[in-house]
Amino acid sequence: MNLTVLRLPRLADGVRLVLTLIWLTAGPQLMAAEPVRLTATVLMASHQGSDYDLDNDAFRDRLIQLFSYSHYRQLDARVLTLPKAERVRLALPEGYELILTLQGIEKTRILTQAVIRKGHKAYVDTILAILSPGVAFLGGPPVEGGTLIIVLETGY
Amino acid sequence: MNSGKQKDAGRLYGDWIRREVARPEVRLEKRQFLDAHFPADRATVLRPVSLIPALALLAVVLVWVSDGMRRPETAAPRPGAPVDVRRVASQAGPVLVYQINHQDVPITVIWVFAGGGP
Repeated sequence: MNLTVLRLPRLADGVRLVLTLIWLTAGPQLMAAEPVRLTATVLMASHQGSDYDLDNDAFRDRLIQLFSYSHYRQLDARVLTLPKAERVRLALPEGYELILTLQGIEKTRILTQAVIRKGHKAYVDTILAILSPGVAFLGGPPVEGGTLIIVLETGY
Repeated sequence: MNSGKQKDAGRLYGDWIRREVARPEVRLEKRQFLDAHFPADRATVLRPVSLIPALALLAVVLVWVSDGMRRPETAAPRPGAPVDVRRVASQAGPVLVYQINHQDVPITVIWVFAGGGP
């Protein structure tokens, strides 16, 4: 049986150099083309009761350490895809809304603007440079029966 | 006059001069003469050059006080933190930003105090 070995032509050194340069310069842009995803979890915290009604048990210990509330209830959890320079909105209770805008990517960090707004009033307006994995807690807009806490995560 | 008598005369003359100069009236006239022709210097503490250290200290105090009174609207960047808060602002109240480690997971908290607290 004859085996035919398929030999690929060797690239000339100059061509390899050009391809390397293209990869080095276009690499970051290629990485940025991948969609950026952020998980937003909406919790309501209060001092009434002692239940931890959460889908993610990992939050429980964190909440106990961070805050003094005795009762937590998870209202919503979404994986949001953030296109570059486009606003992604998530409705919150009692007229609040969370607005996320991908500002860009700096090496390994995702630059995101996070705004919690009610009407024309910005409850909080922040720009976060998030290293994956990273987690941030934003709070706490007052609502009927408690306080809202929004957990932003990436890379988990 | 021999040298012995000269010395005695000189000693007597010197004693007489010292007694004359030591008289209260002569000392008063001497004081008045010096005050009239060589007035005393002003207190050194009032001279401009003496105020320079005090003014420098006052400037340092003023800078320190004004620095403490500033209300920065931007958070200081922390390049090494997993979540680097580049900017934070609120129309609802003061904002607190802090980071803690929970089971080796760094957590960033941004909290607005609008009539409630954590």
